[in-house]
Amino acid sequence: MAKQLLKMEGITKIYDNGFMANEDVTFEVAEGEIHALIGENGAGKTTLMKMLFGLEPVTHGKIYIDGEEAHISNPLDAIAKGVGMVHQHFMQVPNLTVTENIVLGMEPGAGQLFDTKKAVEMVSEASKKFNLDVDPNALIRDCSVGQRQKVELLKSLIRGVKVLILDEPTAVLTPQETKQLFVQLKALRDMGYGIIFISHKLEEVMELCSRVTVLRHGKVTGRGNIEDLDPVKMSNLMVGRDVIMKIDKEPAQPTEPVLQVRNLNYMDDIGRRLIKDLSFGIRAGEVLGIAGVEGNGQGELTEIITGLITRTDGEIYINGTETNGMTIRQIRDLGVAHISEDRMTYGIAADLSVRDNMTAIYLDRADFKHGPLMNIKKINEFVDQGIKDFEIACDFRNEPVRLLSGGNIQKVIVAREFSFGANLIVVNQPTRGIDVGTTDLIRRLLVKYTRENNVAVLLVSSDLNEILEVSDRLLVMHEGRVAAQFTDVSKVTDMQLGEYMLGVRTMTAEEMGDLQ
Amino acid sequence: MRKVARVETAFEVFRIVVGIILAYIIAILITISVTDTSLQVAIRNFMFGPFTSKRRFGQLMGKYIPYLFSGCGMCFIYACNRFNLIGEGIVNMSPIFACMVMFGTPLMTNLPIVVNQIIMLAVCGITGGLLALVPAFAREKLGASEMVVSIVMNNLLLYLSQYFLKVSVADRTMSQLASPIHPANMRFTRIWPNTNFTTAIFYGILGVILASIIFFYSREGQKIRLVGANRTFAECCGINSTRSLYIAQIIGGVFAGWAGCVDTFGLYDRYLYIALTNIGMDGLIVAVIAKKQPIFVPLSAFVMAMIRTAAVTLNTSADLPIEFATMMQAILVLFVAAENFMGGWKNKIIFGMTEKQKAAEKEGAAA
Ligand SMILES: Nc1ncnc2c1ncn2[C@@H]1O[C@H](COP(=O)(O)OP(=O)(O)OP(=O)(O)O)[C@@H](O)[C@H]1O
Ligand SMILES: [Mg+2]
Repeated sequence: MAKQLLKMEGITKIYDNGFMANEDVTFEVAEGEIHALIGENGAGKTTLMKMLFGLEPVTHGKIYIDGEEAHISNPLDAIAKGVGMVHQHFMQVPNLTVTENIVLGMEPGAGQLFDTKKAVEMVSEASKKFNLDVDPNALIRDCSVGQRQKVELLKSLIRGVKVLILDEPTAVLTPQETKQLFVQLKALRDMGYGIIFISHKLEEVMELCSRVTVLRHGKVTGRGNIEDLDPVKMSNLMVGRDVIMKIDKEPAQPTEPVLQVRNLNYMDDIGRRLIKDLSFGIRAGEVLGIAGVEGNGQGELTEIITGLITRTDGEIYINGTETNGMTIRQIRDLGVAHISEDRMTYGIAADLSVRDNMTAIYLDRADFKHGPLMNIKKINEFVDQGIKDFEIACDFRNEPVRLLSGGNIQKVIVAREFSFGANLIVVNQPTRGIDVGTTDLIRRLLVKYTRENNVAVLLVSSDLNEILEVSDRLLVMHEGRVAAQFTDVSKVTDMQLGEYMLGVRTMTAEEMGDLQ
Repeated sequence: MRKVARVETAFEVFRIVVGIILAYIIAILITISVTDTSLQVAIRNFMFGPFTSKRRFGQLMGKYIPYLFSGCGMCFIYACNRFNLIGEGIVNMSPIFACMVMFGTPLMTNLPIVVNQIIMLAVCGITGGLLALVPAFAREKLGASEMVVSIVMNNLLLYLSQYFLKVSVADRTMSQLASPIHPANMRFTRIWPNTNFTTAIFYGILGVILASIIFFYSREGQKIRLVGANRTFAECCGINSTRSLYIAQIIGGVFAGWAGCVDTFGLYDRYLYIALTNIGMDGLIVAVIAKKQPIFVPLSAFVMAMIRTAAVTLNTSADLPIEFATMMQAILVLFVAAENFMGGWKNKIIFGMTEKQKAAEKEGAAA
C-alpha cells in the first residue's frame, strides 16, 4: 500500500448563502496515484478542491497532509504545504511571458531586481525535468490552451508541491492535447506525485486513474479501485438514474427565416480571426444547435448576434432587419432573447432582488410603467407569476439573487428572457453547472417554444447530449467555420460529431447542403 | 431558501447599532480620561444633550436638515459606484446664485414666502445639478477620476463663490465678506424663535420622500440601481448605462444644492461661508450608513447630526477639539463597512439553519 499523502475527513461545506455543497465527504490521495473525482455538474467537486487549496474555509471536518492535521488558510499556504491546483479557468496574466507567469511571486534574483536570465533557466530546467515542454519566452496570450495548462502545472511543480489538483483539465483540450496530457500525468504519477483528476468523461477516468471517488449532491456515493468499476456503474453512482434525458418532440416545421448570417467575420483585439466567412440561417419553429470544442468561435457568434461585441464585417439580419450598428437595446427590440454562458456577469446583478433581476429588460415597456414610475403592481404580479411558472425556489420576491442556488439563478434568467415574446432565442451553455431538474426544464422549454410559439432557437453547447437531444438541425463549428451540417440529428453519433469538432473531417458544401 | 435574507438584514442592523454604541462608549471614555469632565456629565452632554433644551435641539436640527438632502443625493451617486464628491463645493456655490436672484433682481421682492422658498430651491438645485455634471463628464467621457476632479473642484468652487459674492451682491457695510441679510420672505423661518429649527424640515421630509420614490419606484432609479449593481448586466439588458450614471450624478448634485439652500437660508441670516462646510462629505457617510438607501437616510442623518452636535458641545464645554467628531464617524463607518464583523456568528446561524433543514429532510425521508 502506497503512502498516504493527503486525507480529507468528514468534510462538510456550507456556503454563506446557506447552501450545503459538501456533506460529510471523506477523500484521500496516495503517493503515485491518479485519483479521479467524478460527479455531475454541481455535485460539489470544485467546492471540495477549493477547500483543499485554501480558497474556501471548511465548515466541518479535517484535512490531513502527510498524516498531520493541516489548516489551510489560503492558496499560498496550500502550496507551502504541498498542494497545487490547476483551475477550471486558469488565472494568468496574458501580457507576461511564460517564465514571468511561472515565477510570479517567487522571482529569483538579488533584492527587488528580477533576474530574467536565471528565471528562464529555472523554467526550462523544470520543463525538461517534468517533461512539460513550454517556450519560456513566449507570451501567455500567444499560447494555446494546452500550453497554458502546462504553464499552470509547472507553476505548481516548481514550488515543490506533492499533490496536484486538476479541475476538468480536458474540457478545454483537443483529443491530441488530452493524450499528451495523459502521458505527462502518468509520468508525474510514476515520479510519486499524487494527482487528483476531475472530469465528466468516464472513458478518460477509466484510462488514466487508479481510484475513483464519486460525488452526488455533495455526498460521496461510491469509491473504489478502477478495476472494480465500469462506466455504467460509475454513471449510476453519479446520477442515480438514466443519464440520458429523453425529450419527446414532434418533427420541426420550419417556416420563414428569423436569423440570417452572411459572410460574417470577427477578429478580436489581439488580432485572432475567430469567425471566418460564416454563413447560416435559422427559421421560425426550429432549434439550430451549434456543436464544437470550446473556443472555436461559437461564443463570439452569440455575442455578435446579440450585440455584445461588434462584428468585423459581414451581414446579420434578424426578422429581416440588418443589425449592423444597432445597440443591444435595439437588437433586443427586434425580438431577441439571450442567455449567456457567464450568468453571473451577463445574466444577473447578484446583490439585487429576484424582482429587480427578472424585470430588468421590461422597465420601458408600456404595460410595466406609469409615466416615469414603474407599475409596481403589474411588476409584482409578473414576478410572482414567473416564480410560480418556473418553480423558482426563493423565500420572497425581494430576496437577493445571490442567495439562490445556481439552478434557481438560471431560472430567474430564463423567466426573464423567455417571457417577453421573443422570436429568436440565443442560448450559450444554458445548463452548464446546473442541477438535473433545471436542465430538463430549460431543454423542454426550448423545444416547446419552437413548436408552440414559432420561435427560432440558436443553441450553443459543448454538452453533446444536450445538443443531440434538443436540436432539430445541427452545425459543427471548427476554427470559426462550419465544418458540418446534420439535418437529421437522430442519426448523428458522438463519434461522427467528434471528428468534425476536431477538424479531422470537414464536409464539402454539397454534403452540407442549404445552411439557411 | 431558508430565511437567510432575514438573518443577513438582522446582522446588518445589529452591526450598525453596535457601531453607534461603541463609537459613543469610546468617545465618552476619551472625554472623561483627557478632560476633567465626570462620567455623568459626559454621558449627559453626549447622548441626551440635544434633548435638554430647545436651543440645543435646534442645533441638532440645524445639522440634521442639510444632511437629509446631502445624504439622499449621495445615495444615488454611491449606488452606482461613483465617488463624485462635488456636493461639498455645491453647498458653497449654489446659494450664491440664489443670493444673486434675491438681491440682484426684483423678482422675489413681493412674492409670498413659499413661492420664494421654491425659487431658492430651484436655483440651488439647478446649479447643483449642472456643477455635478463636470466631474461626471470627466469620468464618463474622458475617463478621469471623478473623485480627484470633484475634490479639486471643491476648492475652486469655494474661491469662486467668494469671488462671485464679492463682485455681485456682497454687503459692503460688513467687515467680513457676506451677503446682505436675508429678507423675511426669502428664507426658511424659525419654528422656535432663536433656534436653528426651521421650516426647512418640511422640505427635508419632502426631499427624502422624493428621493425614495425616485430610487425605488421610478424607472430611472431602477436603472441606476441595476447599473450600480452590475454594469455589464445592465447593458446586456439594453440599459444605457452612461446615461444612468449621468442622471445619478445630476440627482446627487441637485440634492447637494438643496442642502446648501436650506443651510444658508435656514441657519444663517446672511450668506457667511468662508470655508467648505463638510455637509457634502458628511453626506457620503450618511449614505454609507444608510446602505445607499434614501429611506434610511432620516435615521443615519440623525446619527451623524448627533455626533456633530455632541462634538460642538464638547468643544465648548470640555475643550476637546472638534475633529473628535471625525474619529467617532470613522468608528461608525468602520462597523458599517466591516461586513465580516460578527460574520462568524452570522455564518453559524445560517449553517445551523441548513443543518437543521437537512436533518428534517432526512427524518422526512425516513418516515
Ligand atoms: N460561492 C458560492 N456560494 C453559494 N453556492 C455556491 C458557491 N459556489 C458554488 N456553489 C454551489 O455549490 C454547488 C457545487 O458547486 P461546485 O462548483 O463545487 O460543483 P462542481 O461539482 O464543480 O460542478 P461542475 O462540474 O459544474 O464544475 C453548486 O450547486 C453551486 O451552485
Ligand atoms: Mg467544477
